[in-house]
Amino acid sequence: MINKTEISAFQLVFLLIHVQIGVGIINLPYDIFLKANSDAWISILLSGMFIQLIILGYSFLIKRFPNYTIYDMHLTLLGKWIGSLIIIVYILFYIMSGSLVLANFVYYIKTWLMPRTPSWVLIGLMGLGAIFILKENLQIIARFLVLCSVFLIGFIVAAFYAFKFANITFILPVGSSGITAITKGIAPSFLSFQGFEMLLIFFPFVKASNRTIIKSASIANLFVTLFYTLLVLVSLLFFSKDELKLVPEPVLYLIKAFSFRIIERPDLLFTSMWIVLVATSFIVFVYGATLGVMTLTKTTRLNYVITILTVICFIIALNIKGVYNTSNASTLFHMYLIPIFIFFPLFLLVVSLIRRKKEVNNE
Amino acid sequence: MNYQKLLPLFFVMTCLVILTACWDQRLLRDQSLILAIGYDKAENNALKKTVTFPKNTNAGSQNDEQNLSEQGSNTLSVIGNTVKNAENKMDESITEKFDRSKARVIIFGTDLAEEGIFSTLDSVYRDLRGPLHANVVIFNGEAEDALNIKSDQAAITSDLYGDLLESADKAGITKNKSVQHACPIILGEGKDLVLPYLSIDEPKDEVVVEGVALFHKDKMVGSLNIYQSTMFLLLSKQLAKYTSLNFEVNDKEKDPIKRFVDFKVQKNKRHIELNTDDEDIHAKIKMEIDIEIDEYAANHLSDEKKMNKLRRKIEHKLNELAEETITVTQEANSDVLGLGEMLKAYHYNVWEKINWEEVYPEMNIDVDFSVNIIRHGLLN
Amino acid sequence: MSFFKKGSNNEKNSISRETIFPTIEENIEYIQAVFCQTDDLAITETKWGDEKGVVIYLETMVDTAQFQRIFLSPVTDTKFSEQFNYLLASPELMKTNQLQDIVSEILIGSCVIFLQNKPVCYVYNIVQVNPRSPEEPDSEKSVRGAHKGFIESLEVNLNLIRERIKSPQLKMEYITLGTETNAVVAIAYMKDIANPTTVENVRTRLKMIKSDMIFSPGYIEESIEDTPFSPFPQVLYTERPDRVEANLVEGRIVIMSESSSDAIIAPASFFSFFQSTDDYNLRFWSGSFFRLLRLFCFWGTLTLPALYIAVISFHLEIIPYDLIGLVKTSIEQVPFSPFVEAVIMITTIELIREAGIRLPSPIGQTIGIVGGLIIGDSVVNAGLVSNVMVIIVALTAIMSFCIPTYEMGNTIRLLGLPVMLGAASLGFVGIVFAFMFIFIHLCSLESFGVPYLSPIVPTNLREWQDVIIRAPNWKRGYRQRELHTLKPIRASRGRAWDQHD
Repeated sequence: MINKTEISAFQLVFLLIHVQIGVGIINLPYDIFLKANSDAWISILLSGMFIQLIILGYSFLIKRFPNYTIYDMHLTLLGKWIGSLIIIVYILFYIMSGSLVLANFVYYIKTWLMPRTPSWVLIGLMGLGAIFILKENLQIIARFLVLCSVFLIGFIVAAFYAFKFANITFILPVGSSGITAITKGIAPSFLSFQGFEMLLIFFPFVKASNRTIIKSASIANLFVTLFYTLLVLVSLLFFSKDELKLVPEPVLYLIKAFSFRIIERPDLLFTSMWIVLVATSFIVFVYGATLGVMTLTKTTRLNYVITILTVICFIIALNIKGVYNTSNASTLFHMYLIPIFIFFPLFLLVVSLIRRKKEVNNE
Repeated sequence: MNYQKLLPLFFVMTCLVILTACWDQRLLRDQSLILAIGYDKAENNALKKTVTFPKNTNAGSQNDEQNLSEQGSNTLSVIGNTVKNAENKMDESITEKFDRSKARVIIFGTDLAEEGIFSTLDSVYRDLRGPLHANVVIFNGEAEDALNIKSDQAAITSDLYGDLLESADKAGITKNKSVQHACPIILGEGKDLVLPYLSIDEPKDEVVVEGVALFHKDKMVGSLNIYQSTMFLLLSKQLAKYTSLNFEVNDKEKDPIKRFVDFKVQKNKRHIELNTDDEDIHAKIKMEIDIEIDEYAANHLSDEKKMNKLRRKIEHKLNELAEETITVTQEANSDVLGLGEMLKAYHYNVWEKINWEEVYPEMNIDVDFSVNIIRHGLLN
Repeated sequence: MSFFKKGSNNEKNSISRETIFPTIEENIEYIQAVFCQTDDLAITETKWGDEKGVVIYLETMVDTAQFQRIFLSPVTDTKFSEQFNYLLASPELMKTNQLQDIVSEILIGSCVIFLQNKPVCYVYNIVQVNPRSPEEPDSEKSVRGAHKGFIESLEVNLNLIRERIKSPQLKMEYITLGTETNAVVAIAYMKDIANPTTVENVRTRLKMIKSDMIFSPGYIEESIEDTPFSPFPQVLYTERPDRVEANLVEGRIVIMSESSSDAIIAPASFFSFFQSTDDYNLRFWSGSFFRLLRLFCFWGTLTLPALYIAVISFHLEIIPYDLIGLVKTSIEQVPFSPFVEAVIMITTIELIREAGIRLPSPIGQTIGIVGGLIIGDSVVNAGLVSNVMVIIVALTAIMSFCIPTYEMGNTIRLLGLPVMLGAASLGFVGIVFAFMFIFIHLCSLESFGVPYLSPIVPTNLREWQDVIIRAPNWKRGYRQRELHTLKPIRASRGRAWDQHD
């Protein structure tokens, strides 16, 4: 096993927040708007509630196996072969997540900040940063993530500032796009919540009761939902419908529209802050994959696993180029979501109920 | 053994050292800053782009005051198919590279504005370094002439326009709109854009504010004069710091000065009622404004009766001006008050049934001002 | 002075014999051999009453006046037996028959008395101390509060601490370090407060030191800190007894070595480097303001030049319209890239600082004037460096000097360079990555088990009141949680009379 350091429930909240809030925040309002029109914010709220239900569902698993990560559960419940196979699916999922984060990161940085800087430099720096922190333990990763939350505050402040220019008529009347559109909007918003399922990987490391763990996960989910809703709402209020259609990264664009006495282009600062948020989610994704590999191979050479995984992400990300390619990769990736979020955990729960298997306590 | 930990860091450092001064570097030193841009229609559907940039003072040391007095701007005009095309041509004609990210004003000639401004602005929206905060203004005539003006008021042309617009904005004559703020209005439904409208006062060769230019979608369709534009700003609840108005209230008075009253608007409240019960839609705009009398040579405001009389006169004048203003916008079919937007938000069913562009010029808009004189200066 | 008992490791002269020889002559011969016939070894023959005796000491170590007054005169003048009883009662006298002890005692300034036909010898410590007076340290001045400072004598220093903490729980442990120099190092801590694991940790690490000498506290620091290659200092130095007192009572451990006026305080967290004793003597508002100002200085030193470089070479659109003309005229004629420009200026400032620091103060001031005013002015006039850059770099230097601990100031000035490098190669993105590396490193640092960035991460909001601002003393009811002290609650309800209304 990986060296088992304990984190507090407080740190778990930030771990979950940071893995969810990442590369997607700048284009999230646009993606949902395309489907749900001016009621995109309702879609986000709905999917937040849906995620909350899933988290409550997870609590059954957590109660039955308080010291097992989801990888351990797979191995114990489903046997060596099927369990390993599913773990490999998980590992691929997190490698894919990490690579997509990197690919999107480079794409947006190149559009917004550094059009001529080669991709490998940006991805490489990100990868090096990830290796640099991942070779430490979870405790230190958690500390770093808590520290990075300052940037979330930055975005929240910017969002509230944008209300100054809000035009309430843009989202009125509420519900004008109809229920079908709102439901359609849930799919892209669901994607933005990706990362909450890592609760099942991290909960054994948390030094708290199961109740507190679920509570922390719920707090994290509440925060993320409200944060997303805020961003979506503010983008909808700031841009008219036809304009929003033209602006794929509304969050940055709306910050770009501000101007202050000292800083005339705050979006440059915010794009830089956003890099940190990208880094945090990338780090946690790779860490998720690392834990999988280490459970699977029972190796203790953390440094090698991390380096190899990061390099794989680096190579994949370098090969996803351009908008359309990225979106194709994302579509491929969407197919993974439902099994990872719901199907596998549910399956585990059912199997454990049928086989009446619980964690062996004296281990 | 511990050195190993430092290796990645050293690697990053070395990479950075080797690669320094690459890729995206744009040294401020090597850029010529465009501070004002003008767009005109040229022949054969081409676009004429005019820019001004400060003179490059090569006076050696930097801290002497001479430089400041020598400052001035150069102007350059180029014709191209698109904005970017013109820009590329421009780069060929000057040693430094042009950088337009700091432009303060973008001026459109009337000919081009009447054809539409949005496609010209496309490159500004698209460019990650586009001057989104530049104020857009319409110039009565050619933008090239506007930028070639030599004025004593400011050394740099962009400063001249920037300061003029700012003071006009503060005085409540026009409302500045940056490129970014114009965008949601151009693209949105049920509200139309207004932009400051400038021209050159021929005999004195000075730039003056004419009022505001009215738009429908992104095409200029008319203009309001200074009084009307002040009224428009009042009606649209965009109260400036020093909005002041002047009316003739005592037309029988012999002393010409005594005929007039000057007042400042301190506070304005607006209440819009959209009546959609009948087939025809009509709007009722109720305005409540608090004013402070600045100049009223006829005096005798101590008497409440006289004061009320003055108040009613002002109300009457305001209503007249408002009606006149709204008629102009209706004739131009420019829904500058955003009534359509309101209709859409609060009466969506109705909005879906009608074609707003046909309804607006025809509809009834009543304005009713009620004035409250809260202060009259030191005198009665 | 029984604490100097620890045997010396002086092995090259060791003779298999351990106890003293039966005759005086043999003993003298042995000692002379051990000390390589050094010339300052004095051997005085005396008569003690009826008995013949010999006194051996290092002339250069003993206080001759004292030697005469309290030692030789009473011994020789009056009756031996009386006098001997008097001597035995004196705390400085010690009996021994171990040759090793005798050698080490002579080394620290004792004189050794051999009596004919006695199987023991008497050791009497009359070391000559010439300490300076405990003046206020130059490196840590304060406006209010105590103005005493440590000096180069361990005894005096420990005395200064004991003077402040009158508690039997204040424990000192001595460890002799340095295979050649045999310096004594003292560990001081509050037995009932300090975490025993941390104490054990410090003790073990100190004992593990294998070094020929402990030349300065830096030797100790390097050998016991957790991450030696980190740019950040992980132990706190101080020359102020009041600071030591505060840290001891907080539950930290103090290490002091002989002949050094610095005390090492461990564990130290990042924020302890930004606190000064003066803060606690100021009003709450000003104390808090200065704390915030120092934290701002930390940010400023790291980012200011980097931000400027990034802005003028990558993101010029961020400069406000009113400023851009000014900046542009200033850098128009500069032949170097902004990074090179900054490095030139920073090197110049460091040169001035380094040159001024070791020169006598009148010359030091001259250097400051010549360097600061003349070079600064001409470099701008010659057009080598833009005046905005001069302002930025000078401001950065001033900000770094505002940080109350010298080590942290240096660290931050140095770390500014990689951040600038990032800025010069990738603009804001480079700055962000540089900061990411720095902060990841800061997060992973620990000083004797205490996370370096505590209480920010791991978060303990209650303690922010003493790191970000300076809460009044009676508000701070707890010791720092990460220190895991034995008494987590402090006695601090000073304003009980004020509580009910």
